[in-house]
Amino acid sequence: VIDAPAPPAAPPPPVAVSPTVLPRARALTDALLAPAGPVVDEQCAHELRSRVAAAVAGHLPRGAGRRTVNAYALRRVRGSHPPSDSPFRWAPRTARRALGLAAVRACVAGDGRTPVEAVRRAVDEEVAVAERGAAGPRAVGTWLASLPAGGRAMVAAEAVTWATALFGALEWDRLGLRARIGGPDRWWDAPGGWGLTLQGRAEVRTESDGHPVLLCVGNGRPVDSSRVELLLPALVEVLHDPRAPAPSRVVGWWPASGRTLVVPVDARGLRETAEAVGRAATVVGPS
Amino acid sequence: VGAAAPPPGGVLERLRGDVDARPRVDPNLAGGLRAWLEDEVAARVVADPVEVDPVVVDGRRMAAEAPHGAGAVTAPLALGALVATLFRQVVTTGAVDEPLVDALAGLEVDDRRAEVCRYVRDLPAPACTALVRELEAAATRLRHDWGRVPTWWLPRTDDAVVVPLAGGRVLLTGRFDLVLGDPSTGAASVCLVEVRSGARRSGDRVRRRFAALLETLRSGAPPFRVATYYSRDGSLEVDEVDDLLLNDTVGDVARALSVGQVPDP
Repeated sequence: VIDAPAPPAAPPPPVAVSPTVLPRARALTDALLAPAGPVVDEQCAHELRSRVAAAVAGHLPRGAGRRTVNAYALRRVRGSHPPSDSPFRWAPRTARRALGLAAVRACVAGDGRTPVEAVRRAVDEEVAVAERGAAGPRAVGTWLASLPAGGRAMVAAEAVTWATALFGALEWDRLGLRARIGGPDRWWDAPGGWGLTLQGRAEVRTESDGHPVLLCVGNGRPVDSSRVELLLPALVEVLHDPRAPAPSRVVGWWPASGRTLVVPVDARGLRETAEAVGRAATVVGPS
Repeated sequence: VGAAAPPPGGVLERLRGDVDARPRVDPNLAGGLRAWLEDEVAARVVADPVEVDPVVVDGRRMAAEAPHGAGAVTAPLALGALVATLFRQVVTTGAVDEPLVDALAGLEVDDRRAEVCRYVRDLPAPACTALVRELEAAATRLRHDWGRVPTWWLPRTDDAVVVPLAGGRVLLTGRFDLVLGDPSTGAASVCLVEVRSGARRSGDRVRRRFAALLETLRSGAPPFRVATYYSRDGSLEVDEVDDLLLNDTVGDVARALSVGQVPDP
């Protein structure tokens, strides 16, 4: 356990991209591709591993089941989101990200499809996989295949709205092959038998000066917990592979409010996020 | 809402209008409107220490209508929910087979609409027959008017907007039934449509103007046009968006913040 001195001052606030700059896609792409700036090193990554362990030690009983801390858990612990212990269920709002990301990938690949066409295709493909028996019982395709036409149309409509926003948000040709749209979440299991897993999620991953840069799409508007929520996927990357180039920044984008926040990934921010993870770990129930 | 023309004479052609006539965006407009609103909020809300939860201003408050969900489900409310669902389906897929079956299936995937679904399923036969008749008539018009929205117009439905002011003490919120057009790169490029299943109301224009202000604040560029579509008769009311409309709407928001409603236009 590292007993680091308290930081002398609050960390710098995230930088907001002006909501009046046009075209918006250029400003958001500029925020992703800006030079990397200072990044955390491997030594810091090892310190962070200890810090996360220290943050949960004494709060979590050993052997009490596996707990996952993700951005939602951080929001709950900050009181920015009404607590809900209802189990996950597929709904248009929960399915739109997966279908929307598939659609944006198709649109960016340059096959001439629009978001409407790409989402229709994504829905059809998920249903086809399920009807072949190749999807798991909890897969989105299995759920889609169980819906009548009207229900499926609502899911598609929700995904189209989400995908259209993301597709129009960036100058994809400037990101080129560096951009990875979606992809699996990153996970890190805390050592020490606490049963704690961290989940990092980003909608777009690209890089600048050889360091990853993440874009996270939020709902609604930025809230008090947004800074640590944005830093969580960066923390997971650093913890997961301390030798890999650390992310240099995370860009949060909220299409409903048109807001953009650029959060540099620095040691102080990651320490603060590690401590928030420790607090959240005591709030979330075993998964 | 691109250059390729839709079939003449329909609502799509009216919404598209003359592409070359769309106004350039004043780069200072959105910032100026936001600053003006922040001043109004500072004067009317921030000084009030009693307010803890954000003050929410939405289209209903602007139009002096009862808040959403303020009462029990009624036949008009159920029809509105069913029509809104069919509208999304038509715009997204271009087709509706069985209006009531499709609309109910569309509502049932959303837990928040369970009460409406229950209301419709429990309707006595005569009331259900009347509802189905109205819904089928609306579906016919929706298919005709919205069944061929070009996908390259980037149609998206039920698009949520929230504009925080004064650090989140005031939230201007809305949901656009339909948004058409690319994000602006210098000219106004977006058209907003609200769908109404009922009769015209005096507040419809207030809601349209408020939607125009929300989009301007969110995206930094005003829409070129805002419209209300009436599924009862397939008619369309359209406002061209200009600085005067947006300035007037800021005044409406200030009044809504003060008294909870705005005067009839």
